Amino acid sequence: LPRFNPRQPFLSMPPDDLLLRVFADPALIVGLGVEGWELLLVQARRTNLTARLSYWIECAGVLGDVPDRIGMQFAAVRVVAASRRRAIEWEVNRLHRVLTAAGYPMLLLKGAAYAAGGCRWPAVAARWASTSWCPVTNSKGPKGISSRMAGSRPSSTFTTGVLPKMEP
Amino acid sequence: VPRKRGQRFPHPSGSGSPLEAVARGNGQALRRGGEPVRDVPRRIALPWAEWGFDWCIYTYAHQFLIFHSAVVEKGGRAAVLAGPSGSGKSTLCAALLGRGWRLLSDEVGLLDPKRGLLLPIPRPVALKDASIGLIGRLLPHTRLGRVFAATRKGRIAHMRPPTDAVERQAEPAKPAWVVFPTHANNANTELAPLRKAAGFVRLEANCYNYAALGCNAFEALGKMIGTASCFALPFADVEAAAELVEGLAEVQPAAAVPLDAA
Repeated sequence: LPRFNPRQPFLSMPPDDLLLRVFADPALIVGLGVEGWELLLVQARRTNLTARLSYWIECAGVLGDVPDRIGMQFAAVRVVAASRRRAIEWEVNRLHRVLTAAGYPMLLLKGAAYAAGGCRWPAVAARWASTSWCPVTNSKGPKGISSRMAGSRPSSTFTTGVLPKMEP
Repeated sequence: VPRKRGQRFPHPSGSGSPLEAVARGNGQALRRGGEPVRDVPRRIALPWAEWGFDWCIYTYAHQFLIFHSAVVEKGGRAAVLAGPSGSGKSTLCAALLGRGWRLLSDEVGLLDPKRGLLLPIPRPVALKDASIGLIGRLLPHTRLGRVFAATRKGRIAHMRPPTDAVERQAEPAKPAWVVFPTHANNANTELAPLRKAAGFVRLEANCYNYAALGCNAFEALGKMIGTASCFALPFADVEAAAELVEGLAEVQPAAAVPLDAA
């Protein structure tokens, strides 16, 4: 790592793919110094991946090696990730009510699909805005939006009235 | 923050500091990432730096429930003075500091939802307009900084936080009173007990991240209101208002207001 100059914290950071390296190998954070965490947090925050980084580190079983003050930042971003997830679940829940009542199936793509599919990392789901598509079908087959979907396989499809339960 | 005229703050685009100040030939801009938040004249850089700190807290400190309030403590029990800008909470806070209360914060109340304690973040008390002269007269020994005219919140001067408050900044306090001061020149100064539910709703309206914390916010706020007594405090004279809050410290929290008080 570069020599850290506390007077010029950002100038003393050369291009470094620390965040990518930590995602590849979370054990890298063990023994990371002030300058290393500074760079890692800056990169994570800049890419909106701080919450995901924290879950990633936890899954790798090295959360205990995170300094307390970094742990506080992780706690804060997890609150935000959880609230975004709640927002997505709420949106899906409302749309689902309307669409199923009108007799349409509902497809979830991207973030909403990950969230509804019970993705292990709430932050993953929270990064993307919810996208929900309502396939329109008639006797002539798929049409409109859904025809563009022909080649792609949705991650989650709800055709019943049952949605995953919303967490309290 | 700025070094020389025209010199950029050392922060190349691409790094992710939450907030950066950029010195320009004619002034400064607060930046978030690469995009300027707002251009501000150099002469009011200090108040803006202070609002920048607040912005960072509101934007990032979601491990806490954050209120727009002043928090002062006496005898281990804290009074939350909550209200929007202009309600007189900073002035009242400064007056209470003059009576020996400890400053936890003048601008943000931080409640740790797990422990139910208010955390100190002692910084200069920002006084506005008429409050500057008033506090200067009330507390002649207090050090006030330079007066910044015509900021977006009017004239602003900063009162130095008491040394004691800064030295004890690692020491949290238990919430005991929630007071909603509202200043009006023709107000009848009184400390009117509020029902807990009303106090909850009014404090929630002064929360920045109530929705983000979800269920935890409801429970933490409920617990806090459960142990604290709530009051509305319309006041015309800050000394009289401080006297009333001072009187609270004599009363035991459990006896202050019955649950079903009007």
